Amino acid sequence: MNPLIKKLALILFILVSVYSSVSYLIHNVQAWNPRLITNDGVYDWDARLADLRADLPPDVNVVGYVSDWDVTPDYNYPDNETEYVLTQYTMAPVIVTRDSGLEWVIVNLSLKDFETWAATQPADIKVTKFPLGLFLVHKP
Amino acid sequence: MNYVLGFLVYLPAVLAGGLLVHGLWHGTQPSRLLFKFGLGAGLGLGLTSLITFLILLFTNRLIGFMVVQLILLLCGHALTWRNWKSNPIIPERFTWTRTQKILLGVFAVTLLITLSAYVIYAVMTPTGRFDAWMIYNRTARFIYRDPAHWQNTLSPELYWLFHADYPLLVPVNVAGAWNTLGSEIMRAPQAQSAYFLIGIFCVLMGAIAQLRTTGQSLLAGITLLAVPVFYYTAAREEADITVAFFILATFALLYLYNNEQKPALIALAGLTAGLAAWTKNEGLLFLLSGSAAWLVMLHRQNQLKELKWYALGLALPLAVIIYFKLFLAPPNDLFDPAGSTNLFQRFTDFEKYTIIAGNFYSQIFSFGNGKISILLIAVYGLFIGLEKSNNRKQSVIAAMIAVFLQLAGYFLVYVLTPHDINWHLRTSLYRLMVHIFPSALFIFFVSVTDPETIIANA
Repeated sequence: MNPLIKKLALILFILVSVYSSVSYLIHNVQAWNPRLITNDGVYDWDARLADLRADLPPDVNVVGYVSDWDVTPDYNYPDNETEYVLTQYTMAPVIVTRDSGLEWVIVNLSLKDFETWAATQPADIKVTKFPLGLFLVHKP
Repeated sequence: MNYVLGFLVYLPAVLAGGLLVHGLWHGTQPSRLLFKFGLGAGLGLGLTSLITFLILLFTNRLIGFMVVQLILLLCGHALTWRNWKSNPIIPERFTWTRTQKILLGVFAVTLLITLSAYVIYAVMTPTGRFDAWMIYNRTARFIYRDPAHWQNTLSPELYWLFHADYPLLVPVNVAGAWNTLGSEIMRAPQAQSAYFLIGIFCVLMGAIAQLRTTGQSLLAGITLLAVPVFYYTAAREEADITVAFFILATFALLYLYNNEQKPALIALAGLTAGLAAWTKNEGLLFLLSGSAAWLVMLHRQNQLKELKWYALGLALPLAVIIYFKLFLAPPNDLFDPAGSTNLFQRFTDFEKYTIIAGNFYSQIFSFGNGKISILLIAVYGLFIGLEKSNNRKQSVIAAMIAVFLQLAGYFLVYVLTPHDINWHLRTSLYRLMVHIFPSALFIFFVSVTDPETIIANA
């Protein structure tokens, strides 16, 4: 290969590299959102579950979890998956399983869907309602 | 402030590793010191994780994280002090050529640009991203919040998505850092990832400068700075940067051993391969492929007896991993008998092979999420050609075999997965490429013509 072409290839390669870095910086600058510095979705989820977590007896190691994907065929999988992962992340070291048959169950549903689900459960369940569609169910 | 605390809480381990590597492998050329600092950062963090885990295992208490780091630092200091006359930490004088000065300038500017981009993204990602919540920081929370029952994090009752069987290098260090700092400071895991990212740069550039030229080393650095996926993966507190670090370090040590034949380099490679396996399950695969590379090279050099040094370095991490996998970790979801189809059916689903091959192929054009692609790097290599020297042939063959085995292993995992193949590829393939890319870049830049030669001949 001609040495001048090699030199040109080197210069072009370096220029593309620098351009790539600049593009990445511009992309991140455009995406700048100062609210996220202290408050991303995880903080919101931790706050949403804080009261429920406090209400759960300290000796409970495993709780069940019910969400849209358990009651309706028309659910958004990524959203359900993310909410489940965040619930487990917040509740640690309590294990959150996708099992509605446990003594304690976290139900993450709208009021209407919760009522549909609750109708399939034993009549003596005790329900504690929290804001934003969150229920803690105890089966005696 | 939390950022500063996050970096400070791991600093003794980082410095200790650097000093220990310096004590084991002498030399004060600036490039060698850079390599040793980078390698030491990862090794210090890896050793700290192993020892803290052993304390946790035997006491069911999360104690000694900082003490372990300080003891390692003391050992590093003692070793350095003992060898100070023959091996001080004072860089030898170095003269820059005009080409190198230009490349240094470009590197500095690119570094500033990418660093700014990283910082912007990192500050907007205060708790990491999906994998951090699902695996690493979740595990760290189990350990930190209830150390007496820390093994609950390995419970088979955890949904498969949480990968309870993953090794614990990253979570143990995160839990240890939180325990030392007194709260769940989310910038600590981000700082740990940043140390491994810095380590990748130091190892890549330091080793290439040792093996080739300073200009080539700077060009490799500029190229890596142009691949955004590394910076957002690090900011997201995922462990893929950590695996990439240990894989790269193992390859770099293989090349350096080929040059210098120092047993310490083999022992360090055993340690880095073992720590890759202590980071993620993909690291377990690398333990096999990386060890195969060393086996091939030592066999071709009629030095198989030197494998004892590799075994020495590997002994501690391997013992911990074997115990962890045999007696503590739940079964892996990929091999769960409750999977949707049995292994034979998965093996013979040939449509899957086409989908996987298509996705691997697309990475040639799209990996990195920037303007520098694998294709562009390959085209650049075609234009400038290979270096004439033949003295690295054995390392190149060994490393290429390992990279091929690693990629083949990843391919096989996709064939065997019981999960939806499109979902699995979409959510993980780019991260598997992150593991391999710095090593491939290293092999590439060690093999092709350097900028000094190109400019001198033009």
